[in-house]
Amino acid sequence: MTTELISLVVNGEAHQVLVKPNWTLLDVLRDELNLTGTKRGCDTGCCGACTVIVDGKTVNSCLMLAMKADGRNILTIEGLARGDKLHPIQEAFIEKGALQCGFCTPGMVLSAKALLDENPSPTEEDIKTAIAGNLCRCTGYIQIIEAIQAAARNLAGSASRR
Amino acid sequence: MSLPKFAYFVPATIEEACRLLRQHNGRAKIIAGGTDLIVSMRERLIAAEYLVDITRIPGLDSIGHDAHSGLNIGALCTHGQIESSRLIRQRFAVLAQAAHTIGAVQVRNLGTIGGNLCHAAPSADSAPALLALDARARTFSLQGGRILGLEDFFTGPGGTALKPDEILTAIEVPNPPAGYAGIYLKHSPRQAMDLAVVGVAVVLCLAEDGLTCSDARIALGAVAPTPIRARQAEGLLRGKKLDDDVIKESARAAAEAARPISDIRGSAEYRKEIVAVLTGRGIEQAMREARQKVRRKGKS
Amino acid sequence: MGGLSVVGKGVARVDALEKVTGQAKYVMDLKLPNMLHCKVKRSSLAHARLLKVDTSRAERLPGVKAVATAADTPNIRFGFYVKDETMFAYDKVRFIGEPVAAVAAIDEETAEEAIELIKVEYEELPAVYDPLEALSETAPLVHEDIASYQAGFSAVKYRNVCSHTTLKKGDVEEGFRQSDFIFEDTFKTQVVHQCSLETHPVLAEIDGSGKASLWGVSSMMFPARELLSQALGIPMTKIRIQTVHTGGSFGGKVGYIPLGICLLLARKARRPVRLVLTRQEEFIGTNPRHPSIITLKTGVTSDGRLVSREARIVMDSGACAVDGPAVMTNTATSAPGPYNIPHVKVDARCVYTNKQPFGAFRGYGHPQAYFAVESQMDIIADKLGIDPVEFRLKNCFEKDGSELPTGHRIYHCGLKETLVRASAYISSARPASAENKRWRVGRGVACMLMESGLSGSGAFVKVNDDGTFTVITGTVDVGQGCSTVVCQIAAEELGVDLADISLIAGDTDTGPYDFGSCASRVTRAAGHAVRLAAADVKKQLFELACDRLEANIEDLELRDKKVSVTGSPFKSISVAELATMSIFERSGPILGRGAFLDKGGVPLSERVSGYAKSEGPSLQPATVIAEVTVDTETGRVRVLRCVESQDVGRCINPATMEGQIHGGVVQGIGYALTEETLFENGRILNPSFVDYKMATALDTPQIVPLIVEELDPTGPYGAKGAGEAPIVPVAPAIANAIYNAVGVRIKELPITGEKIFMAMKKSQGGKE
Ligand SMILES: Cc1cc2nc3c(=O)[nH]c(=O)nc-3n(C[C@H](O)[C@H](O)[C@H](O)COP(=O)(O)OP(=O)(O)OC[C@H]3O[C@@H](n4cnc5c(N)ncnc54)[C@H](O)[C@@H]3O)c2cc1C
Ligand code: FES
Ligand code: FES
Repeated sequence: MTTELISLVVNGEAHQVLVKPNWTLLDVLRDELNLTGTKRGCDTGCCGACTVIVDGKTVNSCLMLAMKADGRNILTIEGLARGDKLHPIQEAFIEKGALQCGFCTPGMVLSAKALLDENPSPTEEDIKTAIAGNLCRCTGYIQIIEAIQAAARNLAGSASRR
Repeated sequence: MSLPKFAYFVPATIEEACRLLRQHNGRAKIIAGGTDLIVSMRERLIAAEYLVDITRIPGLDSIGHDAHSGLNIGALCTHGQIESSRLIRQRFAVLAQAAHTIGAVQVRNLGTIGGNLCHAAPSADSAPALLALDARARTFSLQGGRILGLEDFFTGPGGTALKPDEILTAIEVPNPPAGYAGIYLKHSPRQAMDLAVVGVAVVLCLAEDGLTCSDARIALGAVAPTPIRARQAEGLLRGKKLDDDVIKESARAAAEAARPISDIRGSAEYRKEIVAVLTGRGIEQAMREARQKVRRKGKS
Repeated sequence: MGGLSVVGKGVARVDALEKVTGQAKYVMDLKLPNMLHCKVKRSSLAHARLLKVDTSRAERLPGVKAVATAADTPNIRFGFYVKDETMFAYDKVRFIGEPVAAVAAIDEETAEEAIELIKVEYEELPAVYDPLEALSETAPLVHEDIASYQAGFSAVKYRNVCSHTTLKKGDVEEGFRQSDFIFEDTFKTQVVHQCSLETHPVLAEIDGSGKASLWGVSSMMFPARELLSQALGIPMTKIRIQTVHTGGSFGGKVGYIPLGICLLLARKARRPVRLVLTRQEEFIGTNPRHPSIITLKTGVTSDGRLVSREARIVMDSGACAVDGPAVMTNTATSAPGPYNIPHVKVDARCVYTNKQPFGAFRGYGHPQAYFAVESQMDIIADKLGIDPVEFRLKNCFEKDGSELPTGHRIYHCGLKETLVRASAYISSARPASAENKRWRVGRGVACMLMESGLSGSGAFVKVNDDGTFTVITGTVDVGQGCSTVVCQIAAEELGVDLADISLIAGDTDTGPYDFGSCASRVTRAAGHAVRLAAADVKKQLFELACDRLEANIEDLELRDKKVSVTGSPFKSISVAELATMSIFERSGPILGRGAFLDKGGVPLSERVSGYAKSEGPSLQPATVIAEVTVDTETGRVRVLRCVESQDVGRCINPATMEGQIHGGVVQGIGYALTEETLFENGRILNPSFVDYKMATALDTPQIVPLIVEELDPTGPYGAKGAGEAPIVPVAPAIANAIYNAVGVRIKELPITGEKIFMAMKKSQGGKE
């Protein structure tokens, strides 16, 4: 199999990566760019652990061929905090105890981010819909939903202060 | 399990895509969102030596509408685009409802309506909605394009009428009469991330009395080798006042039209029963909505 | 116990920051230079003689660095309870998915290709899949030489029965004669998988001296090391198991076979080897929950007193015993439920079949037993016309002094309190409102009592030169939050902030022995050991300080990294100064030591034969009231609310405790309604998350945790074990709620919409 050179921007940083056609974006993030925050829980689109944001939309990176990421802008969990300053969603997850084993957490946080970017004041149903593609075996989702609600409030608060 | 090896092409035009498909006749596959294809290839259910990525071909991912020819949905439109399109939500709500039931946000952001139809799973959620809307498939190939009625498009589980070098380019939905209403109901054990055990789409129109059904179309998913229309059930509604008995009779006819198999998702017997239940509910809900529309029109 | 400052607070988890930023490393995130990738060749047949495993073509494939088969092992049979397992199949294969060989190659693709090149010659044998069939005298034998297998207890083994437990108290026949009504019902429970979101990963490296370093998720590192040492004939000094972050276990991540396979390959290839199971392998090759068939025959008086119970239990063990004998004993001894029943007789058999070996999953035999017990309680209450809560309160154990069916007495048991609290919050009666023809609402109650805690744990506490502390334990946080809890306990005892504690855990070389993250034992056992080690440090600090402060030891206190005289805060000396003084002038560095045995292994009861359980002294009582709606036309159920009241003793961290309840309830909902591993002739039909249906966020109801704190003096600060209880009463509560809503009683899990639909149809048909 030949390799191809693709360019992608990950967390604001431009990368050129030699990929094989049968690699997924998840393979590239984890194995080539060492961004192991994005997890692999099923490799078939069913668990959401591999969720990343591509050009503003969440996708299962295990279903997206690396070649499809050519020229795209990708946000992974590693790119969410600004230096030591956590994103309000991350803060809320800590505050509300919205994680246990943490394996679903990166994907969950990114699904929440995409939701709040589009819909700053979601209902509980909106939140559940937004994270329905992110399975969590530990938490029963309750504290995750609370954390996203809290983050929405905090984000709204800081927006109105500005 | 890693993906099998394949060569990857990213054609810039649809002609180039067709040429590639023809060149690698039978050994090449189109990839759109990849949500079906990648999973099937990983599980070694589908083999392909060449993948032709059509997502960089311009013009295949837009939603258009005109009063004359109706709705035109590019094959590369994602379910996310469809469920959030104002046009579709307002005027073709049954399709937006169907799109919303697919997988979850991430899958809806990748998966396309074209892929959903071309993968031709009997449970594909957009199919019953489109069948009930009497949609047509527009295709392109180097021999020229075709327009196929959606019923002729599906040939069996995983099978379509497309030739190996033919590409589905758009779905065309004729403008439904004013005052029509449509509903998609899906039965699955979970509220999301689940395939339909049964999917039922009902589209109907009421006469000005708000009671008599002037037209109806009912389509069923996951209960036959392909998504199907339940024509007899439709016929039982047309020209009738929709009372409980009529609805019940039509729902029964829909169940009779179903030819489900028993599998791990449900027995054939149960599926048939669910078809009747969902059809009855679909008719009731669509009727209520259509009646409101008739009333509103009457007032204005 | 007033004035606690860290214990009892819902402090943020110590691992939260690294987890929300994606920095937390799990084993699959680790890479070593020259690392190879492992794939396992698995049996494609359920039962066959293994004639030949030809690996030559795989070995010749470029990029393949090592291939291992049974020939690379000493073929010693090992196992926790019955020594019937091997690393690789060598005489026969006994289930589809059993490892036959494994490959280490430069990348996963090459390893996968090599696996395909391994040719296995089988002679297929008749197989047995149904445990009842396996009991027949003519059934094929899964293990022919079972009689020669060693067992860690006086096992009764014959034909396909790998262990047999009986329990006898009083005279059940006499009891039935005294009863006004006798009920007999058979319940069935299905295979459910732990489905940790992280699949099993292992990374193995052998150093120049031949010592193996294994990074693996093992919730029971020390027992896993023991099994590896047994199985491969390697001394424990040559095996070091470490864990980093673990993406869930729920009992499933014991993982000694993947650890062993990687160790063998790393030794052969002289390079590090990593194995990450695929989701499909996780489904077919690991040890999910035992399916069971439980028949309860119960005699009651017309005023609602339980008099006599006979239980017959058949538990499907799959191809090996693994945890079977112990799980089954739990089921057997729980078959009488938490009720005073004068006459009890239980006969339970754990049976081999040609399916994957079943293992430990949160609840360990109790979810099966309690589905039967608590479903039948409602059947009886309904017939007698007694309120289900009242019926339970009338028969259940008292707080102090009640006798378990095994004969042991229990104390500090908040079971009644959980029943009272839950039913005070929400009545278990059907709400009349909010119903229509299509949707009917129902409520159901179930309670349960299980033991917690088992075996020993050790801990060390070091004093750092700046006055902070380092805690070293052998325990593993598999996600449940025990790292946070043990740090809270250390901080409380040492009078410092959580930030002044650092934790070293999850390493069999540096940490003292710890039985593992199982049996709801960590807070109690490891927590207790840490508390004792911290107390030891405190004592040493006081001994050093009393001269300098010219005070009696009894008058000293430790707070904010200072030892001071009570009442004279200015008379103080910093821990940093004491630490330095100790290192350079006195007895050297200060080291605290703590060890605790959670009195598992209470002498066997005369009433029990077969594998006897280690009866933990501490109890986990809980009650659930579930509210559901049932779609009367499709049978589809939605759970609206679950109120779970649990007695956790001292609640060390309310936030993590509530998380345990939420998670347990949602797993319980899956057990009740949608989750099931389906088999056809030993082959799993749904080894993926598409058709193995765990609840999503949209399927989650409102969950109300109500925490009862009936302190248990044997646990740290009065804590009890609490991790497993939340799942146990959920399925029967939902089954009872469904009956309450639509009047059909489903005795087989999972209670799918189709089962309800068919049952309703049948009962309506009957009425017509
Ligand atoms: C987790 C998960 C959940 C899902 N849930 C649902 C669900 O609830 N309901 C449902 O209906 N589906 C579901 N799906 C299936 C899938 O997402 C949809 O069918 C999706 O619409 C497929 O579109 P795609 O663009 O990803 O197709 P691809 O995978 O790219 O292609 C699918 C097939 O169609 C062919 N093809 C694609 N586009 C064209 C074209 N324009 N012309 C000719 N051939 C073409 C391809 O060659 C391939 O054979 C789910 C999938 C996953 C992974
Ligand atoms: S790993 Fe991509 S969805 Fe599970
Ligand atoms: S925290 Fe473990 S899977 Fe979500």
